[in-house]
This record gives sequence, structure tokens and C-alpha cells, in this order.
Amino acid sequence: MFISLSVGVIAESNPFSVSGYGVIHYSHFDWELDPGRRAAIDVERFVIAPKYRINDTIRLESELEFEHGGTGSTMEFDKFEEFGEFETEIEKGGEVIVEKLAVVFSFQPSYNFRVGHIIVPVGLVAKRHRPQHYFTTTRPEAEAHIIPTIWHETGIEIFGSLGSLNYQAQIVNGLDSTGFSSRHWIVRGHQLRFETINAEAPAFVGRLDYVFNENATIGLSGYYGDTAANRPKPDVDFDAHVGIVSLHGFYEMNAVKVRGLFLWGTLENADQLSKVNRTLSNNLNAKRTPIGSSALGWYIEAGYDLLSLFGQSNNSTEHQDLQDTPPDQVLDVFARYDYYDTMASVEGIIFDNPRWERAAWTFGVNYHVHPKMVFKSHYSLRQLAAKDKNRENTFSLGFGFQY
Amino acid sequence: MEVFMKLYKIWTLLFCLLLASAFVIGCGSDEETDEHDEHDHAEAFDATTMLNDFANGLVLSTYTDLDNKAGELLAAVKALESDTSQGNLEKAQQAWIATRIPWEQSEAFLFGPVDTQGLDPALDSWPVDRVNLQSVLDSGDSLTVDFVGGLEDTQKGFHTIEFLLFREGDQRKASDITDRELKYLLSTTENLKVSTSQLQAAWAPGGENFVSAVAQAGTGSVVYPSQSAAVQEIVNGMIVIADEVANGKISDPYNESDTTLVESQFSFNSISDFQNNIRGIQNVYGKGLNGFVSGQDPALDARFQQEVQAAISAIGAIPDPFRDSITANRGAVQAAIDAVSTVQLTLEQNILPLVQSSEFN
Repeated sequence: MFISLSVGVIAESNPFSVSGYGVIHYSHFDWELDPGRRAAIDVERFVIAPKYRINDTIRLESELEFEHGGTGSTMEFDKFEEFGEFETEIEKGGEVIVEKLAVVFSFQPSYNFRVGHIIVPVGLVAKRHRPQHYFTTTRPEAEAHIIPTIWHETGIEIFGSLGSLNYQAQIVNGLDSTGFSSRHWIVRGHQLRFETINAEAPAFVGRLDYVFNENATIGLSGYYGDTAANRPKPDVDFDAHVGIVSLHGFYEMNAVKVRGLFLWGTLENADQLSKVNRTLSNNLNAKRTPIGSSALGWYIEAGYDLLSLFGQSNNSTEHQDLQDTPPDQVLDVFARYDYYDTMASVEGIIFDNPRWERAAWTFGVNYHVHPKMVFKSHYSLRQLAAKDKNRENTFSLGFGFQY
Repeated sequence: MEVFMKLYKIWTLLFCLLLASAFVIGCGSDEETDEHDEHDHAEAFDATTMLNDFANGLVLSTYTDLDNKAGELLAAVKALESDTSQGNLEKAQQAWIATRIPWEQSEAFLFGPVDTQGLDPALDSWPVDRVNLQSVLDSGDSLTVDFVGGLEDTQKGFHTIEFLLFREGDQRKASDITDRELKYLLSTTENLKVSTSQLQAAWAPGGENFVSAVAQAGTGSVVYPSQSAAVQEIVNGMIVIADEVANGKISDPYNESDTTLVESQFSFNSISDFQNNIRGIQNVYGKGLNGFVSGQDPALDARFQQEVQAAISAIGAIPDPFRDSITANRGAVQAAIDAVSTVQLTLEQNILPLVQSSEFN
């Protein structure tokens, strides 16, 4: 596999290059509220990211993602047929998604321009989504249960760096609030259900990162946009702005790796939205559960490379560009604490279900046989705020690679 | 306009005859096929009466019955709230069981407003877990009707009411029922009544009149462009519930040997629920589909009627309560699964194709 995919290392003179990554994992669940949950294997994602440099100023970027090893489904909404109903075609589980399809104009380091289908840089995972960038087999749950990961929308972006400060500012298409839910807040508002994306209301995204060096960064990101106007049918007459702020950072020096995120989001008119969503058609395949007026999540994870105790040089990132050096092995043991509540607050007469307030301790080992290849294992103890049957323990094994 | 319709019908008939004769000439070697085709295409079936009987005579009357029964249940719950006596508890339980009958029978036609307005899950989500329901009771929220309306589907509707009224197939002790439970019971029953009224009004001629959307299929209905489309919807509705009973409601708890997956697990009303689902199929079939099928294939009609009856009997032969039989009487449960699967198979493999290949007015 590495041989066939090694086009990523083609010399710089070639304007065409490909990179990407892949993740596969197995999980065994011991969940009190869902005792019948089956152990599962997920070919979670395989990403192919071709790039083409047209000239010194213009390049094309793309990212094609196969999720859960499969094809996918789309929905059609035709208001002139079938009483304006939704039609769905499902071929098989999984998805093929164009995550990125953009043109980049590089003018100066401080001023660049990107247009097309782009990554929304909110949170830590948006920037650090390859399997080497997080310890667990799946992405950090406090983040992945509150906002879409990876989050990709269509729009324009200005970005650049001013000394140690990197910035990004975007105007992109917004979310659709029919997909919001108790369990995942705005995650399913990411418009993936329909063939086309409703673009009645834009969203504004910003990010600032202070880069101490390649392995140590702290930053701030935010999102603001209306989600009522982008619903499949014009069935609400109020606004539903979503605002999100995240504070994040990572430090990965020598044997120590520490990463963390704090994320807070609010939703306007969450009670009215919950009410309208309750009567959505079954065919829309929306959750229709009440929605929190705010969501809160944070996590911190820390790992230590045991092999460093045996005198090996283990700062793996030093070798990223040196393909012929022997594999730089790392054996990280790690712990993480996640806390997240997708109904951190509710407004109006909405029940704040305690099962959506979750806290988890996760412990595990990551064995990097090479900077581009990692085997992972973890055991996670999640606790719901509900009084009874509130344990969700998960054991997971997996591996990931990048090229 | 009528003249045009007549002309149109004559043209359709002539066209069908032409098509049929083409088949006779084209497939002359196979006599059996010839006979069939001649039969299928010789004359279009006028489903006007069938669709009208289905919509007005069955669906609307079932939903009206459901709404009335829900009203009686609400009255019984109100009586229980004002005087929490054992006798009133028992009356409320009986009213709940009575309300289940039209609802379960209506599941043979879970299309139209019950689907598009999200009423099915709001009324009857299952399985429900006690933890989720207990969370509501444990919260400090005021358990008003509006509050209950805003809850997740698994925290309201039939099975929440059931959870509050029953324990292990039996009535609770009236003295054990807390004030908060009574409030939750009253609000969720009122919420149920609002939903059944909404459903009834969605079909009623005085309301959103979905009845006419079905009855006028092919003649100005905005939902069903042809009678065939409406009849196919009806047959598919029957298939959906046969599939759900055989492969969901009975098989899931049976295969997993898990009583928490059983529908109506607090009242032990499952066997009655499943039987009423199949009676729903029987009711739909009896409103004109039987005439259509027997006109085309009398043997199929006789066989299907017998299969439906056999399925009702096979479910009835499972020793009560169902939750114990999934482990203790696996043969009887398997026999019921097989009998309902037979109904589903005949619907899918014989009746639906017959409808699809037939000409309607």
C-alpha cells in the first residue's frame, strides 16, 4: 500500500501531488442503557487529497473522502411532485464526500485567498484531523459530538500569517437547523442530506493561531450564522443564529504531548426550533428531538513516549520530510478527560435530559511504528448525568496511516 | 368536462384492448400467459368505490374511534387524578387498552399525515426505557402539557402512559402513584389526545381532508396522480406493518431474548397489539381490495384471507405474556413469525405485482 501511494513524495518540480490518510477501528461496547449494542468495525475514513499547482500563484486543492467504506445516499426535494415530499435513495452504508475542492491564490505570506468547498476551521480537529493528531481511535468526543468534524462548506476565505500569528476569515454557506438534536446539538445541521445545499443565509468564520513553533500552538476560533433560512422548506418565521467560540492548543515536544480544547456554542430561539422540528416529516429522517440553547464541551489529553526513557530520539516530526530514515518509533501512553453537554442550557419549556451531559475518562496506548503509521488502543469510561444505568464503557483498537 | 372524461375512458379502454390483443398475438405459444394478460388488461378496474370506502369507511372511522377512545382515556385519567382510587386506576388501565385497539389497527396504514406530520413516533415510540422516563420524573421541571409536548418521542405517548399506569402486566397500587407521576400522566395523556385529534382532523373532510386526496386519486388528487398510485400506497402500507410485526415487534425481542425490546412491556398487552396490527391488514383488505383481487385471481383471494386469519390465530396461540414466551415458548413465537411472514410474502409477491400490472381507471 505504501508503495502504490507514494506519489506524495514526488519531487517539487511536479505540479501534481497526492497525500491523504486512512483510519480503521474496532470497538466493543458495554453500555448500560444499550446493552444490546454490537461490537463494530468501522473503515472510518480513507482520504485522498490531490493537489495541482497551476503556477506560482494559483493552485487547486481537493480532498475526496470515503467514509465507512461505502457509497452513500442523497435526498431530493421536489415541491412540484408528490405533494412536496422528500425522496431518498439509499444504496448502502457509507459515504463518498468531496470534503475540499478549492482554488488557492497565494499572493503574499500575509495575504492569500481561497475559494470553493473548504474546511471550516473551528476547533482543534479541523486542523489536526490525521490519526497522528489525536490519541484515541476515534476523534476527541467532546468536540465531535458538538460540531461537525470534519466541517466543510462552500465559500471564500482570506488567510495568511503575520509573524507568529496565523489568521483565517471565511464567508461560507450556513447550517440547516432541521438536523439539530438533543444528542449531537448542531452536528447534523451540516448540510449533507440533499443533492444541493441551501444557501439562503451565510455564516462567518474566523480563526487566530499563535504559533510558538510547529509543535506548539494556541488559538481561538469562532462561527456565526443563521440556520433557520437554510431549512428545506420555509417553515419558520424567526432567526436561529448559531454562535460558537473555541479555545484550543497543543504542545508536542520531545516525549510529551498535551492537547486541549474548550468549546462553547449558543443557538437562538432553540425552544421555537424544537417545536417546529417536532412536526417534521418522517421522510426527512431528522431526529426531531429538543435542542439545547447552548452546548459546552472541553477536553484535555496528555501522553508520554515510553521509548524516550530508553534514550531514543523520538521527536517524530523532525523526520517528516526525511523519507529514507529508519522508522522513528514512539510508544505513547495517554489519558484524556472529556466533558460535554449538548444541552448545557435550555430555554423555554424544554426538558434538559441528563443523559446528554457526559463525562469520560479514556486511557490507552499508541504505538507509532513509523511517523506515518500508528496502532492505537484505548479504554473509555463514560458517565452520563442520568441517575441510573449511566455507564458507557468502550474498548477500542485501531490503526491509522498517512501518506 | 364529463364528455372529455368519457372520451378519455373509452380511449383508455380501446388502448388496453389493443394492447391485450397484441399480447395474445405476440405470445400465442403460451396459453396460460394469454389468459392472464387478457384478464389483466381487458378492462380497467374502477377503484373509486374501494378508495372511498378505504378513506371514509376505514381510515377516517378508525381515527375517529381512536380520538374518541383517547378522549375516554383522558377522562379516566382526570378521574384518577382527582381521586386516586384503585377502581379509578383500573378504569384508566382499561381505557388505555381500549385506545390501543384502533391505534394498532391503524398501523396498517401508516402513511399520509400520520407520517408526514411526525405523529406516529410522537404517539407510539418504542422501545422506551425506564431511565429516560424516570429522568423526567426526577427533574425539577413543571410537568405541564406544553412541557410534555416538548419531550423526546420516547418520553411521551402511549408507552409513557403505560409505564405510569402498569407494572409487570398488572395494575399498580393506586397508593404508590406519586403526585409527580399523576401530573406526568395527565399531561402526557392530554398531549396524546391533542395528537389523535390532529390526526383525525388531518383526514376529516372538515379539516385538512386527506380523505379526498385518497378518494379522488387520479381525478384531481394532489397526492395520488392515479388510482393505481393510491392502491399501491395502500398495499405498501399493509406490507410495512406485516414486516414490522414479523421482523421487528416479534423477532427482535425473540432473537435477542430481551424483554426490554417488547412493545407494551409494562402492561403485557403485546399479543393483543400484534393481533390488532394484523386485523388492521384484514380491515384494509376487506374494504374493496378483496373484490379487486378475487376478480383477477379468486384462488389468491381465498388463500390470502386464510393466511391473514392464520396469522391472527398463530399470534393468539402464543401463551400470554409474550415477554415470557420469547424464551419459554419459542416454538409458538416462531410459528407466529412464520405466519405473519407468509402474509407479508403474499402481499409482496402476489398482491402488489397484481396491482402494479393492472389497469385502473
